[in-house]
Amino acid sequence: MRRLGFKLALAVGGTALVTIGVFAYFNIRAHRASLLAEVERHANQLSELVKAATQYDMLLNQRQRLQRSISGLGRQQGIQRVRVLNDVGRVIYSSDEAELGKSVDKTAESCTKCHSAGRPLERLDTKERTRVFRQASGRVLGIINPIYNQPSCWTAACHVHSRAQVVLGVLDVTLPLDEVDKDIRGGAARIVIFALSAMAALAVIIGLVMRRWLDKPVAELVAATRHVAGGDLQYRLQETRDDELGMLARSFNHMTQKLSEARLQLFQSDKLASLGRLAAGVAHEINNPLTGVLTYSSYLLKRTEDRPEIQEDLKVIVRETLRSREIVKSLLDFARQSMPRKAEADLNGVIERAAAVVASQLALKKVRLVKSLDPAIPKAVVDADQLQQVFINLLVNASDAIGPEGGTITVSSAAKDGSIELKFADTGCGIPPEKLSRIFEPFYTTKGQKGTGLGLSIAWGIVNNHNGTISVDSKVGAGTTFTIRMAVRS
Amino acid sequence: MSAAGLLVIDDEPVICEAVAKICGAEGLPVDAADGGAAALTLLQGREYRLILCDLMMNGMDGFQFLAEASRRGVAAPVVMMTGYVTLDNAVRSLACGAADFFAKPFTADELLAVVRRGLKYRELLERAGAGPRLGAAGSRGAGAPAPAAPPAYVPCPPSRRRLGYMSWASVEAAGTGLVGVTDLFVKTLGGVKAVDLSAASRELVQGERCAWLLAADGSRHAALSPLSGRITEANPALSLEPALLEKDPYFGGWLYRIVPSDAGRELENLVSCSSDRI
Repeated sequence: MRRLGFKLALAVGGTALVTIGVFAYFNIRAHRASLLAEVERHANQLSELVKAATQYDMLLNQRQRLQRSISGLGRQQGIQRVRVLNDVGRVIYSSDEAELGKSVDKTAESCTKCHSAGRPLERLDTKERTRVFRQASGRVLGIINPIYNQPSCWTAACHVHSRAQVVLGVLDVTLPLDEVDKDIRGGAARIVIFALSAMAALAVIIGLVMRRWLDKPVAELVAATRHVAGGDLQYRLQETRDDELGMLARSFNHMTQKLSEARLQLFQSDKLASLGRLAAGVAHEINNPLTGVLTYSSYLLKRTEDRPEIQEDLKVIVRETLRSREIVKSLLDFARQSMPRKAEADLNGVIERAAAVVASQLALKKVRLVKSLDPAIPKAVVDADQLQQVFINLLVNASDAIGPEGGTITVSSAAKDGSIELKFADTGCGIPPEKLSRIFEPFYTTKGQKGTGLGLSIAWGIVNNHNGTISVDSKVGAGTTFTIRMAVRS
Repeated sequence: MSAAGLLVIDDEPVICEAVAKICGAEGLPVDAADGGAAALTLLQGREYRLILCDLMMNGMDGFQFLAEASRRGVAAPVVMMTGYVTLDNAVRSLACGAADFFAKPFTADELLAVVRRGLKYRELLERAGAGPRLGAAGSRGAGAPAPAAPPAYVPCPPSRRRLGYMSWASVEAAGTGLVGVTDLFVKTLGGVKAVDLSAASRELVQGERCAWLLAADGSRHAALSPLSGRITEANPALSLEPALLEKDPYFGGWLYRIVPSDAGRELENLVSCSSDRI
């Protein structure tokens, strides 16, 4: 598996490599160019200095003095060679006395600049007078400085030069570049090291960030999807992050919440429907045999009033048969949830009517009923009688949950994206989570003998018949809220 | 032949035998028929004081038997027996002319209470000189005669609608319903000594027991609710003065105020008291 983090690190690393590489390349080049320019300027200055220092001796034609000065200059640190060539290329002065009198090859590297066209050039820019070439000792920079004919030259007492000459000779100074090259190499190495360490740091940071911000939450999400796929719809992710993955986690939680609600509703309606059919079938089949048992046993009971020893036993038979009858009957009550007869109605009005019905009962229990009804909710197509029964049921349940010291029931209605939401919230004892998932089941009651355990499952059936949903939220000790959502056109 | 006995019609032999035994022990001769056709054959030869008929039978069912008996002018009131499953049908059978019904399974005492009440009803009818009780209400049974008015001791106001001859209901302006028992029902009990009412917030179902009435002879009788709905108030005056049921059954002697759950449909099963006034 090519992990997303790895791919991202690769992409960022590649981009960084190119960026830093290009930057380093140009940086090195600029560094090199500026160093060379500095050396060039220095060489030019030096060359002009030599020319100025030797001009007087030249005019006086003091050849020994000139040769001595040039030899002295050539021995200076940072100068490799100083020489003067005459107009035909013979070395007339040089710090390297061995080449005195020799003619230079016009095709030699140091001469090509001026003589490339085959004839001597008369004027040269400073830039063009310098050239870098390679010798056995390393790179060197040569600068030539043409010595132009001046009035003082042709009027000098020696009369060596005629007035017609333009260039009398060339001063050729050569400087070694080994120091500069070392500097350039050092700079380049520093930049390369910087670039490499920057890239390494980037890679580490991206790796850590990916692990923290991407790998971990993605792994959590994957684990959560496995839980849900395995049927655990109660599994929830932590919703602590505020980035896109946090959004995904919240969306995931919302999805599983909706899924689990939908599953519950589906499960519930399926269960209720099959239970209803079963109840009707069982009741039908069992009624006649039960009638036989009940009639005969009660008849025997009447006939044996003088025989107390069998009376007790017969009473048990009658009592238990009557109990069976009640069970069958409540099963059928449950199965007989007639189809709603719907008409357009104002749900606030239905709530008001339900509240009026239980008002005295609530007052007796010191329960305060707060109604926060939105008058703007649209009318709904409902069976008002059935819904009123549901509301009364919820109100009575809420007041039952509130202890003898009293409490508050808050009923609210609001329009919410195309549907109507009704809430019945009490400040009662609450329902523990293990009971909460069962309260809509038929015959499940928390009221002991007082309740039949059918109220909420009938309420559920009625709301379901209206294509609505009923859900519950509860906190032990804080209270319970039932929420009914109904489409405006159900 | 004197009309002294009972006729029980049921396709379950055990029911017929049980009814025969229980009523026989009380001195009431019982004939049994295993279906509507057999019953009609028996009815050709003799008269009965009272007929007990199962509603759901193979072949001719209770409704068909009622219609046929009505057509033949059978004088005996017909009391329907039914399981809870077919309570809706039982209630409709009252609108089709059945005098009363009771639910299976039943105890010997419950059976005897219904039978005694039925016999008393027959007696009251004969005393009033009225004809047979059979008939149809509303759209049901186009060819059947209109339901004859039961003998009225306290007139039933036209705003009330009754379930059989036993209980009445009316829907008030606020949408709530008022429920009570008829004067005739109280008469069949020979007076009421005590009333046992259900608590508020309980659900009533049309045709199901909504209160126990203790008759003068000590027997307990179930009053059947004429409408379904949730009780909002039980008449507090009745526990202090049960005789209100006899003296003022249609006003002061009401049993419950309810929030009807399906009044529109259920009212069709009831017969308007205005039709009682001829």
